[in-house]
Amino acid sequence: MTLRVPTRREILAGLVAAPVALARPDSTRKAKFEEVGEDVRMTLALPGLISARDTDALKSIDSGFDTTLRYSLRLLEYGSRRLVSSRVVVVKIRRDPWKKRYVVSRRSGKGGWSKRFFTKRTDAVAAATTLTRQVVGLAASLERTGEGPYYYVEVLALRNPIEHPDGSTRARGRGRDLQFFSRLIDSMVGERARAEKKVHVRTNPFYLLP
Amino acid sequence: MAAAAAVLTWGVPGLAAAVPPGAEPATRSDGDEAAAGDGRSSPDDPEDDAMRLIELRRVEVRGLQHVSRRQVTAVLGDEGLVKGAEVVWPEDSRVRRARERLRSTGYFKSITIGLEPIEGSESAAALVVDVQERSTVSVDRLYLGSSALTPFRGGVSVTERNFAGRGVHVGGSFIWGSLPSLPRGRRQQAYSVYAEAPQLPDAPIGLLGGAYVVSAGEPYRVSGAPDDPAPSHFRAFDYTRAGGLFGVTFPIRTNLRLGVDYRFERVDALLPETPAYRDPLGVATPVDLDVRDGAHRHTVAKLSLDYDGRQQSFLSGKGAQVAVDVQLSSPGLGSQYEYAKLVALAAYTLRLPWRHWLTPRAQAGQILGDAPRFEEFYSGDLSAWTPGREENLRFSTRNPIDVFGTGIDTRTFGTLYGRFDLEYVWPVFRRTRNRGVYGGDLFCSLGVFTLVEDAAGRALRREANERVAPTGFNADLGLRLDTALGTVKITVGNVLERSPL
Repeated sequence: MTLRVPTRREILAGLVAAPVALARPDSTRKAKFEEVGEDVRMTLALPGLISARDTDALKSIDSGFDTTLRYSLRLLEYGSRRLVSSRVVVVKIRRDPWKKRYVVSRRSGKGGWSKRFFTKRTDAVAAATTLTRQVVGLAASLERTGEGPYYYVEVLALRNPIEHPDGSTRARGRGRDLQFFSRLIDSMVGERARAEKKVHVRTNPFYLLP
Repeated sequence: MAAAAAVLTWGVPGLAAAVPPGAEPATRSDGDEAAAGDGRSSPDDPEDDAMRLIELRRVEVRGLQHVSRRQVTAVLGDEGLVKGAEVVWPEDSRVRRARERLRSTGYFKSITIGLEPIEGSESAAALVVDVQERSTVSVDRLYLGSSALTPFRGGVSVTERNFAGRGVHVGGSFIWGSLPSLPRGRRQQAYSVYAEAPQLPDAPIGLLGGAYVVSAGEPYRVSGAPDDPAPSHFRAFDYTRAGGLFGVTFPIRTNLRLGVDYRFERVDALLPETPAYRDPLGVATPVDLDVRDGAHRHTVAKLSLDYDGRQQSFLSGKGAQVAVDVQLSSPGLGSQYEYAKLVALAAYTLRLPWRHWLTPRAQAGQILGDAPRFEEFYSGDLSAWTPGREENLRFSTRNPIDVFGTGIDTRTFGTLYGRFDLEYVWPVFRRTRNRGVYGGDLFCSLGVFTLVEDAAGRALRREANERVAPTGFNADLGLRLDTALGTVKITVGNVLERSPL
């Protein structure tokens, strides 16, 4: 067997493509897709967004104020990554300290809020972290041949998205001598946390039957 | 009714080669039935919990250990979350902002702001802030390395960012080197302490002060080729610096600040009588050590302007940094040296579509007059692969590696430098609730730099038909981790700098 040495063009293409490929979602999750009327709907559970072991998340729910879950959904064509449609679903979960029950509110896009009430926290958390028959696109915008093209949904879920405030007072400390700015890493800028918890997944692919 | 009826089979379609793994057909069903689950939906509950105002009968802060209650209540007070105030329930933007502001102090691992009902009242509650503190001590630098000149050097630089629960930064550092491989060389060591109030409670200024002692055995070349780092070609002269500094910081705007510092020190140098360098051909030339002999004063007034828009780069995807430092030392300021030093830096950070970061950065500096050697630009500080000065001490005789063959490996000190770098950062992960590691980034950088000697050095280079401004190459690759104790960097350059090459 002979191994072909990649060309310079292929190596360059690989280097350029690597970060793009690696910026993709963390894992694949199994979702259920249905065609209901004109819509394509998806059912997907993301229990990792509020884990039963995450005491901070549970304290946040029990605090009486809303814990916000923000789901960004992108319906994409498998292979080409062509964006078919996108939408945002916001879910809020809290404990009502007066009525001693849990409230899960949900809004898709610019629609109105719908609410559900639970006595058990585990049930409320399960409802908040599951997108049940959520519309992800219009069936008319998808091709249907029975043999593809195939589609999937990319889901970016954020728990309590963080808005980093301005105006925190910076200390000069030991960074006073500009010569040491030459130490590149010390002044490196990077991504900051976007939320208290982030789950970024893609679903299994699906297709529409003719 | 437009909906189709049948639930179709879960088969794999015909063109097997084109089918992605796990592909399934979407089932068809009629109607938009209610969402599954045990919860009752709102139409069944007319007593729905619509938004209402809740009066705060008291404000409690729980979980404090080192952070003062005043620091937390000050943030709550700024947002109007005080006893007697009203909040909108179940969501109030002031509560969210207070949580973000408390988080941004860096003092807490977790913050929960909640309501506890007052018995018998549906419109009154206690606001409870439950926090879990994180360490406010950070290790800024860890000095550890070995070189052909100094077999071992070690030390640490530590800062407490919330001293006495008042937001004051207090830090200290030391470094210590073993006996150098030089005739009559002495151990090098340095110690410093500093304190800084980034912003006074009642005035829009910050104050800082510090003190330091540096005991140096500065190597200088006496023989060998100019690019030969073997310690046997060097001798050392001793000097001691002891001094202090105080400064005032004016935060002009959120991202723009002006600093004015005054530094004063006593320098005590013991210079050799006739330091000379004998080149490989046996020609001897006198060496200017750029330090006055005996005990003398060195004072510096410094003005620094720093605009750092990188705080916003997270939100906007781009941000610039511009910094200018001007130092002046003159008999009029009590110094026995006379020089001016200017250093400027500009950088622009942008987020790429795939959420990685790219930062081009340019910087330059020039010294006019006769600056002491320890204030001159040092090639090791510019190169990612050779040891720079640590706490102002040189522990190595290596010059930068000459990648381009321009002669940069023959330059040690200069009065003019320029540097350009391109840095690529790949954020690997970020966490807010954690067990010690908050985030990690992979990064790589590429760059070039140049270092130009003083007028006498330039004349000699021209005479020898050598480049006055040789070009050096920089590249680095590694992982940066943000941890509870500070930043940990594992980089190729870090390894090279610390190895006895």
